[in-house]
Amino acid sequence: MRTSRPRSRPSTSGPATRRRRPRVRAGGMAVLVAVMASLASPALRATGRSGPGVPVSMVEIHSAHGASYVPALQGKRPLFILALGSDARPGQSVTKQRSDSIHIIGVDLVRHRATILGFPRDSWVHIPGHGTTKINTAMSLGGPALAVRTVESVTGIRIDFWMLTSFGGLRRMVNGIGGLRVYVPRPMHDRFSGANFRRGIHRFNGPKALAFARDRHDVPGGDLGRSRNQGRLMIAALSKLHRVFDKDPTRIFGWIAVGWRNIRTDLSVRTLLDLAFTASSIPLDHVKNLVVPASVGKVGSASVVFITSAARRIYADMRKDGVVG
Amino acid sequence: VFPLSATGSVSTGKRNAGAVRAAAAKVQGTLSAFYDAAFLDPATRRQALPASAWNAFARDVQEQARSDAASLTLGETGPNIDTLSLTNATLSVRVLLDPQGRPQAAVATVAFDASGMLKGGEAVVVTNRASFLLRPAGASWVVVGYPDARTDVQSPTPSPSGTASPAPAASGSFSPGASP
Repeated sequence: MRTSRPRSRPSTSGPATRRRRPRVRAGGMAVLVAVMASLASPALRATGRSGPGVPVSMVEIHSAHGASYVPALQGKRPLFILALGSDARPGQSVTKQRSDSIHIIGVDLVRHRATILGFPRDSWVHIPGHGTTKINTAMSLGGPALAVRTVESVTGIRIDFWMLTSFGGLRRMVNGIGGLRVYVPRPMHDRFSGANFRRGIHRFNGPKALAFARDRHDVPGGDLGRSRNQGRLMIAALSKLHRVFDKDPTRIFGWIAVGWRNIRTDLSVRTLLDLAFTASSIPLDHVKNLVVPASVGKVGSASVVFITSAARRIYADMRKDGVVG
Repeated sequence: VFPLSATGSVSTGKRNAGAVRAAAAKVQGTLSAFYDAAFLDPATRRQALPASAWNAFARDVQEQARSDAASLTLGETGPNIDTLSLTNATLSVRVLLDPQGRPQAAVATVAFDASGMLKGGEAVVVTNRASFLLRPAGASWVVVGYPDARTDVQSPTPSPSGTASPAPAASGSFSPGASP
């Protein structure tokens, strides 16, 4: 838990944490129609519905549909979450293995935008106190706290919270929310991960989602392409959250419970719920999915990824408001 | 106003049925008080909803809620309704528990139907459907959000042909509530 570091986090409660959902509902159009109808004629609109017994018409006197207000995090500075995926096998400590999936999720709380920035697991970086090595070893050397410090050291971005899951955790989460619809941009046939998908939209259960997230052998750029696909899964989850929440807000608690059981985090349940509400208010087209610019190379006999200098502009951009662009 | 038609919980750790029941009862109290003031109490219906009624909402949400009064209450039609009686009210509450079994939040789903008479003598039917997010605030629970809220006020008028007919001119004096 990283709760003692003095820093100002975006507010997770209190007066500045609410906002109206930025969307137009069909109900809003209904109100507009009703207003126009009432302006056009003093006789109000007749809906023409009939009840049992004596036929009746229902004259609408007042109709106000679609007021919607969802609490969301708000703050002057952006929110940064480090999402980690451990490569722990059954029986191993999730927090003491390598993190083979590493993403900063930056959220612009003012303009309700987000950027997912992935780091290839083999990125050759400085790990505080441990010299230069692959970024994924940071967690095995010092747990999520060192993974956070490493990413902060590389990017200059201050991480607010971390979340960590495992292979099994991802499988269970995807199953727990009833699967995900994911666009697979090119065919994937990889016997190592088990990914075997045609190009197009797929409905993934937990094991398929995991295979999609793990495949690096036949995706463009290998580890870089895999990192981008992991971002695609996150966006697919966000899309499903929107649909679920719009249809039945009570189901968001089920998501929180499924998430809580399958992640390690320094968030509280309450803040996780705040994050879920915040996520439900971020339009999908306000989310960017990027991977740090990098090239593949060798250090000795080890295959590594060198993050290029172009990444510095991305970090600087994200530090400002949480997003790129 | 509301009998509790269903209570449920989502646990992230320890279960605590007693805490869920207590939380649901407080949610019931908060929403019953608000709906009573916003719909059923003739005194508050005829005038603007008193400021105290908005205490059902968290302080920082009250301004937004007031601006959404047309969806959350009878809005401007309230003063034109002479009598109104509850015909149906259901409330289901789902409580989120933290790992220690402490209630952290609740989602309440409301169905509210009432019927009565307009001041001009016409019958009136009121339908409200809403979902509310609530959180504990001290000893009570307050509304911190409403993912969906709508109110319809309709007047059933006899129509021998069973087809739509124009409304009586008297109804024209009512204006639809402000668009949210």
